[in-house]
Amino acid sequence: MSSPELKIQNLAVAFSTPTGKLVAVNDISFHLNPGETLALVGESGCGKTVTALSILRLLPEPPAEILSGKIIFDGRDLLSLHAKALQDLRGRSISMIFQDPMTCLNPVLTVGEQIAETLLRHTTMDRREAMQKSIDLLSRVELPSPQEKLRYYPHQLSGGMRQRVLIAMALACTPKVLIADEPTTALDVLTQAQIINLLGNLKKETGMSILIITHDMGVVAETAERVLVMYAGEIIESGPTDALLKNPFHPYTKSLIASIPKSGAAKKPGARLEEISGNMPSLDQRPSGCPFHPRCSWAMETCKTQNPQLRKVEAQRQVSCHLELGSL
Amino acid sequence: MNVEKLLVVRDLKKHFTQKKKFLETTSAPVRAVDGISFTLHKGETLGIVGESGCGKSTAARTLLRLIEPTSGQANFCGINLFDLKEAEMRNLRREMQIIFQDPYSSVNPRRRIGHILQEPFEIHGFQNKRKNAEKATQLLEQVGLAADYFNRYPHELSGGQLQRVGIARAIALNPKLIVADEPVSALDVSIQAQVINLLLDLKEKLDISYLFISHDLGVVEYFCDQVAVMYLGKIVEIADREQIYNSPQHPYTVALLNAIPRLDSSERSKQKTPLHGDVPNPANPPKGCAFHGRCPVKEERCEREIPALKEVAVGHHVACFLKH
Repeated sequence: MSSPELKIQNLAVAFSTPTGKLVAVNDISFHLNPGETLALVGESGCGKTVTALSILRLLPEPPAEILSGKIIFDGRDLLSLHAKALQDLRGRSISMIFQDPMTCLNPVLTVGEQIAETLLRHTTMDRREAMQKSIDLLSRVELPSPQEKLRYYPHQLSGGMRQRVLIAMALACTPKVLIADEPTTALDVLTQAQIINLLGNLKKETGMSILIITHDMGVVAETAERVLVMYAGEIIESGPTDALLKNPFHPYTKSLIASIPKSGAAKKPGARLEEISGNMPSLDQRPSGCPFHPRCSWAMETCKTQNPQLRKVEAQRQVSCHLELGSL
Repeated sequence: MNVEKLLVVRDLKKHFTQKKKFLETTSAPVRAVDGISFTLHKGETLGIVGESGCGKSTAARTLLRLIEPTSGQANFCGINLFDLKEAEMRNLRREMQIIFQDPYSSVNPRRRIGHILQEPFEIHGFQNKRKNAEKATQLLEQVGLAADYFNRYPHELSGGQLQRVGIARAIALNPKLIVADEPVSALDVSIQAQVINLLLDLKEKLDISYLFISHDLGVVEYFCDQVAVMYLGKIVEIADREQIYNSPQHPYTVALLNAIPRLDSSERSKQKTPLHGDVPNPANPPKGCAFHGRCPVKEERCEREIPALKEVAVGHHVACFLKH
């Protein structure tokens, strides 16, 4: 197999607050293979977005601080690059799309100007060529009548259309890696299906790698080949999507999957969804031992004192849990 | 069925007028809600499903008279809501409450949770401060929050916790009807399950009926006895839950069902490509059936005539020529 496109080693990120340093991402390592879609799953506050933002060094430093780790892309460690080199990289080799398409676009510039901006910054195109290319890009993200849409302002577009514009901007310089941070969370179910479909088609066309960040196992199932599950700043399970969904090893993964409404399961009156009680612990109230033990129905004495290490359990699967495999 | 009718809505319309443009003599109104009718029985839940811009929230808000309707009738426990004076309506809101989508923007960020929960009592004439505070503490317990949240501010709570506060506020005055306007859309999937279970528990304990508004048919299946699918201001299909999920008739309902992400890989492969395009502009709706531009099975007739909502099976109404 070829070497990974992007490799994250022992990344740890903290935020300084008046009460002290709070660790948001705690020593995580993973890689993204060429042409692969990898999903990073977890609830709000688990550190998935902080991880994504640190790859492109988009976190404000301070208050954020990268405590340790390496982010290897194209033979270079992104954490040691200068600001100028990072600017050349962002939007050209690694692009990002965000959750809320309403706030990511500049409301006083037309769609065309915003897409062309990326092209003018990173290529030698002149303005007219950039506008021409923008029309191509808009038609590739399946926006109807792209020539006309070029002159639209963001407020004239629906949420789904705006997300398409953001994807067009991200793809402008044919990046090797696309980081999609909750790309469909703010959208309707139908629009979500459209965007998922579009990302799949674009990946096939361009061969780029996608890191998709989401809280919805349903979206994972529809998009990713491999999954990382995060909880309280740590990766607690990883593996190929189908195997992990069918047979999760970590109690948290199992509960996340169970909390999705299943069709046909609600036929009995009074049927309830399976829920995970409680909330993700906040950064300053991290429990001792395994961070999941207060919410875990399988928790044992060891779980309260010892944090399990991520261990390899099958060829491509890892889990960090004291339980024996198959005891769920 | 011999269940008491709680809310009967007939031909509800809400048209927003637009500002006239230069040199225009008339301007077309935005037909946000264009003649919808449904009946909600006591103790039941009706789900209204559709994409952004289909008019589902507008319909719900006109029923509470948070927006004034253009025409139509809404009969709540024998009272015509649209005939009431403002003061009478305010009194009646004790019986009908609303939960909003975004819990952060629906509470006052400068008030403590305890204060937020006492407000309904104060507004509706309960002046005993100590008693109100006691009731507020009970409400916290009812929605599964610890008593020490009483003195916290909204920003100290997570989205799911704050939505519980929104629910507590809605059940404070023992309403008969709660309008839930996308109550879980802004929450994580795991927290969404908690909130839905809480709403189901309260329904059983307090005998509340819900009007549940959502864009996600997956969530609605857990929650509703009856489902109405809206498209561009009109109901295109309305039926019992089993009928909608087991034999959906309107092509739009089928598309919505197909769009739910599936975990099972075998179910996934059966899925067709998702529907293209967006909901058309309600100020300038297409001729004929509003859905014909996106419909995978449209006929020539659909471009000219508007299909009426007709009964195709007992209690199952569909507005589609192909099913009549």
